Amino acid sequence: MPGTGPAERSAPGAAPALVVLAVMVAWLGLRLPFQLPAAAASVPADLVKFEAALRVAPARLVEVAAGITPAMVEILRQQADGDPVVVYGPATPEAEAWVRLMFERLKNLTYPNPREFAYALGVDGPQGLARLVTQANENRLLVLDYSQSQAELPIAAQFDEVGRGLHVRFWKLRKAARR
Amino acid sequence: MTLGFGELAWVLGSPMLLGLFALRAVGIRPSDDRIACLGWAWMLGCLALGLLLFGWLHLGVPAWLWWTAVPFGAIAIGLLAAQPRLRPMRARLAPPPFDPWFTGFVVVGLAWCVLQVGAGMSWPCIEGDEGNIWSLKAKSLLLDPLSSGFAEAQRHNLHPDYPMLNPFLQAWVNAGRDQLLHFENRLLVQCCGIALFLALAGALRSRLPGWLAGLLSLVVLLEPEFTGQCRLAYADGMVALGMLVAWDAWLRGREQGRLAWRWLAAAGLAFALWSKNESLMYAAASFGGLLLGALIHPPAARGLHLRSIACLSLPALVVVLQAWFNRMHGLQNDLLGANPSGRTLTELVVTQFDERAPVVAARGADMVFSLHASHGVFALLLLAPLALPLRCFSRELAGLTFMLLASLVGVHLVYVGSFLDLDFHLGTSHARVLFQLVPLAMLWFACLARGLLGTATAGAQTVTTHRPDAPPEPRRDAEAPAT
Repeated sequence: MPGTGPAERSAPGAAPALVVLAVMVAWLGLRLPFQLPAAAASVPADLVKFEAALRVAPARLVEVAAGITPAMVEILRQQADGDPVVVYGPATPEAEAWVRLMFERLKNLTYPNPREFAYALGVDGPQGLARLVTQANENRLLVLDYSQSQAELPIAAQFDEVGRGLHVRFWKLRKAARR
Repeated sequence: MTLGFGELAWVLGSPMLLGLFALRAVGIRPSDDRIACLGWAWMLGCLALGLLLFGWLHLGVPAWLWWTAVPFGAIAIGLLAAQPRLRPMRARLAPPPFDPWFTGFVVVGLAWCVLQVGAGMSWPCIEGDEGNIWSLKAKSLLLDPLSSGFAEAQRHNLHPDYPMLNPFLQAWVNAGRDQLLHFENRLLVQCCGIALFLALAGALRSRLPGWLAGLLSLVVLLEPEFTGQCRLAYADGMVALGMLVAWDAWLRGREQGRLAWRWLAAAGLAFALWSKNESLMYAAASFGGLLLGALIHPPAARGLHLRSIACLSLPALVVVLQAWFNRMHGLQNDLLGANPSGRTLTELVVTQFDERAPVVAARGADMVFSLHASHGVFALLLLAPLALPLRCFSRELAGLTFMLLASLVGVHLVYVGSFLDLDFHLGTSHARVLFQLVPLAMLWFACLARGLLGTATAGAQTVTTHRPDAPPEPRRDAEAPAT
């Protein structure tokens, strides 16, 4: 074999070397009975995805994969042109993962407009919505409410509902404290 | 897919063209390894394109004129390739003969990789690390390149200081379309997964019989972490590619004594260093491993080693450029204390060691001894030095063995000293980050297996004589005469 010098051939004999090598190769090859069926099973679904990537419009792919429609992006950009946006949900472990995921998706999809994105879990506390409901944000702050509640936002402030999307309602802060 | 055929050809053809020129400039010919050379060319092309765009950005060239980097780069690299001292030299060792079965396997493997790339393009690049780190930085490069807006856009990014090659490759696609894309922007990064497969297949085939090289390549090809690198815009596959090429070329250089391999090794290291921060640790482990190896087996001649130092200018350049970029934008490293805990990695390792080390070790053992993952090659890495110490720490392998063992420990220490919740951190990145070392560990195993196969072959013949069909004994640690 290339690069095998006489000195390196003087160690163990042929049979032990082959046995050691066979054991090591078998250890690595043991993965294939698990990997091959899984790979074969994934091919049809991957072909469908490949075809979708070629034929389906990007906006539709985003809607299916991320739950963000072009209409939602339109509302977001109209209502928060240069203004802060917060993705809101209740402070429960189940909601937190979803809220953070939608925050990431929306922030990255719409960058650079709007730029100022945050997320809020519940009303009070360091991550609560209340920290953003300030006089400075009146007529600016847009809340994307993923609580899926039909009620108004649970905070003492005046909001206008300015739109709806997939599992979300859009609220614009008008007055930081209700009259 | 919004890119037309012409746009696709331009986006993908540009780095390939630059890479082929760069390969020539380095002094490597396609005949040195007809399979791996395509992977090497892609890697070199992406590195060259990234460096050119870095220069264009800081020279104030607007994004719509970034295409000019390609003809400029092609001419510059072409002039470099025309320098007589860098012309390709005759290979001292013959490349492996054409193997139709292995070539067929590589073609099928390529089709598998293309399927993964295509399937990945149905998923928008807007979440996880690829959305929050890599593609966001790529967008910021076009929108806020030299303003405070760049750092401001990274404020939700846990790793704002990550290297810029991946974002530059994505920004190249966006700039070509003059639009922020959320699917095709990944293309060049995804193709690094394909290049990884080609570089690995070539590296294994040059050391092993076709059936064994194919088996080992297949184990990596079907690994979910590998297919993930072909689907998404993570930089872990780029690190794996760079480190594999660096060590493959280094080892070929030791056997063949050509300075060209040292340049390719340096380019591989530079590519890895500009891809993700783990590479700094791997580079340190590599130099430490080589130093230890040299202490065990002192090199016979120093000429090539001294000349190799010039090759280090390339990795040094990307490290300096990245440090300068981070300093300019005020981007800090979380391991050095820029994290919510305010403590450095070292401080966290000390305070969290007792609590976390057993959990991390158990998770590592689970991964290494699992039958489902290609990471099982690390089990051989851990056990073989006990069973075959002379082979694992031979002149050829000692440096790589030390490097891999140190890197394996280093990766796990990062989890011990992580400021993140341990379950979250391990669950989201452990298998992916460890995969950075899997192709390199396969190369290590190939070298070990070659030695064992050589013993078996020699045992069947006369121990002190060469096989009639064996190539000439390679010169070690010496420069080959130019021909």
